[in-house]
Amino acid sequence: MALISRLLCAGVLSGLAACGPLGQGATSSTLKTVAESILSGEAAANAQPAPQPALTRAAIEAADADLLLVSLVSRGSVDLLSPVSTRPGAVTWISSDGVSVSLRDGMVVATRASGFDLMGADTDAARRSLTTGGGSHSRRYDVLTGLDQIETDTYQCDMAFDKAETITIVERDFATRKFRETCENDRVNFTNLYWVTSNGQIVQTRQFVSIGLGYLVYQRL
Amino acid sequence: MSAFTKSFALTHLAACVVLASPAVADDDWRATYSLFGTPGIIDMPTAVAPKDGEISATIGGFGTTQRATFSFQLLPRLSGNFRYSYIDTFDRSFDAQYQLAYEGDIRPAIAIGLRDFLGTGRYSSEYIVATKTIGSDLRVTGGIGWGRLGSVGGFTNPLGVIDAGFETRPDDSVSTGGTILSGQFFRGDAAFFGGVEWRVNDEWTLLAEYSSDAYTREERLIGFERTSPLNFGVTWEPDDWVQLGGYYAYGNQIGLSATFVIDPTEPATDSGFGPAPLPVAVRGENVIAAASWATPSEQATGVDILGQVLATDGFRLLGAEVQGTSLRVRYENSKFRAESQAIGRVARILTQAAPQNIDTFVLEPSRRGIALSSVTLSRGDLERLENTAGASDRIYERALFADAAGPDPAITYETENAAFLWGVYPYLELSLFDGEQPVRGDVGIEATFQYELRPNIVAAGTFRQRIGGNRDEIGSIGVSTLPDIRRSGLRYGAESGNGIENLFVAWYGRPGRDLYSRVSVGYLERNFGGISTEVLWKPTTSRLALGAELNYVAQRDFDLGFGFRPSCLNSDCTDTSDDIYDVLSGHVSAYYDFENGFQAQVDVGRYLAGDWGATFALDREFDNGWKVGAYFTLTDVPFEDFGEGSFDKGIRLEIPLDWALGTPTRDTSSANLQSLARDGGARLSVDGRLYNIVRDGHPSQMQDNWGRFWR
Repeated sequence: MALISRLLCAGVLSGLAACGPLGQGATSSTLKTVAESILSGEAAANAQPAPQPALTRAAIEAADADLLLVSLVSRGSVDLLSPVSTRPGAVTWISSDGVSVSLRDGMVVATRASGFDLMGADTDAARRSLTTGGGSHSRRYDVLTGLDQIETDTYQCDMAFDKAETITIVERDFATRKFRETCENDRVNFTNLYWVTSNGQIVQTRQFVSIGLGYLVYQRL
Repeated sequence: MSAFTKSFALTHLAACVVLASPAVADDDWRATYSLFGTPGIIDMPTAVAPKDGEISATIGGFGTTQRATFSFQLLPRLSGNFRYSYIDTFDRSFDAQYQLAYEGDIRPAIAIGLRDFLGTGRYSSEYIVATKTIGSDLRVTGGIGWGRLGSVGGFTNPLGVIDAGFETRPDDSVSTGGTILSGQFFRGDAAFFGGVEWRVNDEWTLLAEYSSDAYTREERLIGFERTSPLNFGVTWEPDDWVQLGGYYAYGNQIGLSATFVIDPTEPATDSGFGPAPLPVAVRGENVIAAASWATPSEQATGVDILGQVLATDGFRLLGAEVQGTSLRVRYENSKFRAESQAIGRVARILTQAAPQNIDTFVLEPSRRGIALSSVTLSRGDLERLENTAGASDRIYERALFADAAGPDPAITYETENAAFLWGVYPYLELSLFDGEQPVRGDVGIEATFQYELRPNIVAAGTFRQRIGGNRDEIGSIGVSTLPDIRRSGLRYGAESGNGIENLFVAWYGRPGRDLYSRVSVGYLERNFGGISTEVLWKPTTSRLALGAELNYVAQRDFDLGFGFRPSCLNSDCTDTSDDIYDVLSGHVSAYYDFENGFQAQVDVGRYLAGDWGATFALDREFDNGWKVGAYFTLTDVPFEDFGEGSFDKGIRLEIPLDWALGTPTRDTSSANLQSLARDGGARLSVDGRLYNIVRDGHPSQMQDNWGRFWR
């Protein structure tokens, strides 16, 4: 039940009004509002008492911004994220409680405020393997240690097609090809999963973030 | 479909695939902590070294013997311990152990140790010990001990073959304690000791040992009866941070111990829970910022918005200035412990707020109104590197560090409500481990204020009202030939229970390149008021800093009012000197920040009793802000005049609170275990000395925590 209340309390649909204008060329006075909503978590505070909308396709279509449904598996958290920043090839999404996830072409390249953040990652080779239908590649992950040092972990990975699968994301069916990426180094091994549509977009995925955090799962709504 | 079903679907998706369990099995068998709080079995030491940097506190005892021990693994091979115990009286002791050899496939770990090597030496002993792990769950230890550890089954000292002098153990202590007992090390009879530890499972360990300590002193003075050299015990480790022990000792005693372990390298969370930073905005792509700040009014508006945005992330903008394609920003970070993290966040805010024709950001972090350094970053680097692997190293390589002694930026930014700050808090003041009372403490209410005349000129004060405690139970700290600098410290505020702790004005300045200055005037601390002046030379890229301090102060009245007093000539202060006690004191200081995390400080000068001497301090600082250190002061006051402890010395510990909380804060919690505060070697306790303020904003310090730049 905690999951539902978390999701509903997030109430990001109503909070989006504050976050929306950034990245759409509005005037600089909105910058402060946006910064406030990101840095102080005020969006969450404001949004909580608001009516709690159900997550329906109609609500999603009505929203001003794109939405990402994200779960941190080890925490059992589920949250709706909206974009705060779009830059060439990368989008940073932020949750109502101030956790951000940055995606480059659908691949997780950074998190912030999760407690065990991925500070930055090289995922271009992995994305190429996914686009070309499989292959071997390496990934590089920067994590912050408890001593404030950046530790760069390199993983050797294999990407392979798993099966064709039709999945449903909030009342809409997607015909996808499911891929499985297995990665390892001498300490850790993990398996990322991708559900990719025919135009190459990742609509659902599970990706490794860090040892402390484990996997992140998201759906594009 | 409802939110419920969708969220369920998502978590179902997450759960239905096998989860990675990436953590490596950590099969290190950590040290068992003995009743002495050191790696050992029950009373006997082992050669096992705790993890580098580990800190532990042990409370344990049997019968009337009670020991509280604070331990620190100073270096991978070197342990240090401070102990406060009740033997026949309260006693302080220091131990050190050095691991000569790590455990190999065949070779055991070998260590040499000194127990109670300083002071009165009631536990004085030395040992060489070897420990071997057999299989995965059995550890066997054997050693040879001298002093107390050579008092059961003792034999003539084998070191006698080197020099017959080793065969007798002299009493090397001085009546006031506190000195190193090197004259008796490894002298007198020697004896063997040993024991085994058997790990039953991850939580339980069984212990047995043969103790070579006869407890002669206890038998003689407190009627302790030792009937067996064999001790048995069990430890329970329900979690990584705690170890509980139960013992059957010396044939008739039941003992208990509890050890709490902290690893400074493991914070609440590695990267912290503070809010995500504002992401980098890339120019030309949906940027909110103006194309340029062409006119003065556009600049003024731009700086105003920048100030407001910086404030939302906890920064205070002091001023900003556009010069060509460069934007210089002077600001104060009162929120993030790591100045590097603040620089990273301010820089990202600038990518959002700075006009698009700006290519270069010059950041000038400031504290107490003075700029500490200037860090020049390329906007293009920020745009390109964000969220890439290796971004932290690359931005550091490209950053330019310099002095920031230049003038204030052209456009100043006034923060509303910054001028007057106040607060009322509860306080707890503890003094630990003095000669009579293990703990003295007061609780009460503290009211504090700060009024800013300029960002670098601040008036501040603190008033305290005691509610309860025993700090006013004035002990009989013996008089000495010195003026009562600190020995009568408990009298302050004792009668009224309240008073002005401090009330002063401090002025900070940048007299020139690489130079920093401070002048503080007023009631500077509980015991003294007057004027304190300081100047510090610290080039931004230098690991060496030099400072000079000159103070003229007078001794404050015991009522903590506005008056001053003469010094006391007898123990209850009914007889005083004729004039108010005033003194000119000062020091020249050298600070060196070693690259391996150690930091040394030497102060040479005149102390508050008019004595001349030097203070030596060495701290180990972890990159995440933890500090553990020790210091001592030697002056021309003879040990017998100084009184108990012979000279001033202590151990200090500073814990960054963001380590414990996981959320950003510059606050720290510190503890100081020092010998009895007396009159020789006492320094003025003035707020806001320059070095620690300046150093945090210099690259030598910032590079230690630069990993936080992108956080």
